[in-house]
Amino acid sequence: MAAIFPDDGLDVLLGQWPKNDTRETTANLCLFTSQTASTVQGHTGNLAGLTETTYTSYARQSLATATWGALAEYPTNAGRQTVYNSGTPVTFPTVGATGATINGAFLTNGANTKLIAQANFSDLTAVTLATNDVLKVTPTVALTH
Amino acid sequence: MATEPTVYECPSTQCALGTVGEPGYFTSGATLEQAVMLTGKPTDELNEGTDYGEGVCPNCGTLGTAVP
Repeated sequence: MAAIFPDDGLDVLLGQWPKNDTRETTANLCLFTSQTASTVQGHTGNLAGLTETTYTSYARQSLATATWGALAEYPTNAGRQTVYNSGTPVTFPTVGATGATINGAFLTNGANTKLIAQANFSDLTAVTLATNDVLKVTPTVALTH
Repeated sequence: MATEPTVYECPSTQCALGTVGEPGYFTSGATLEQAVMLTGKPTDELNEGTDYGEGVCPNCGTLGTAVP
């Protein structure tokens, strides 16, 4: 799986610690159609460098920091991770008239001004959404040693 | 410049949209066909604007509220 915390995302993380930027209490989970099913942007990637899906009824889903799960090992001893809502997936709106081909998901800060992270789906396969389909995503964030 | 679509919040705590226990968001709204599937009602018992159409959650059929 291709995934990255681009410069913008690292700035957000470093802004929370050690720097004392304003606390981020929400993030947004979004879907992209640009790049490919197995590639994301490089380190200078940002929101302008990707295409967010516009399938009918799509909207970004808000993620509260308080809902991220307990910090745990990212196996095996590779780092630490947290899974959103203990693994209960985030459900996107049922597709209306027009679908899309989704190459992965990305996270933005609460104000939707910065790309925190961008990742393909773990099976490196695009998801083709048609009318009445529902996409569920289980966000996981890991930092390696 | 393209107009941003209105984003609605689904008020139903039972709805799977978003994640459990937190509000989910959508744009546009449930189609008539989706409303039939969600409610089990025939099309002639469904009303646009309350049962389907703009602002009606496509995942549960509840009328949402526009997010400022």
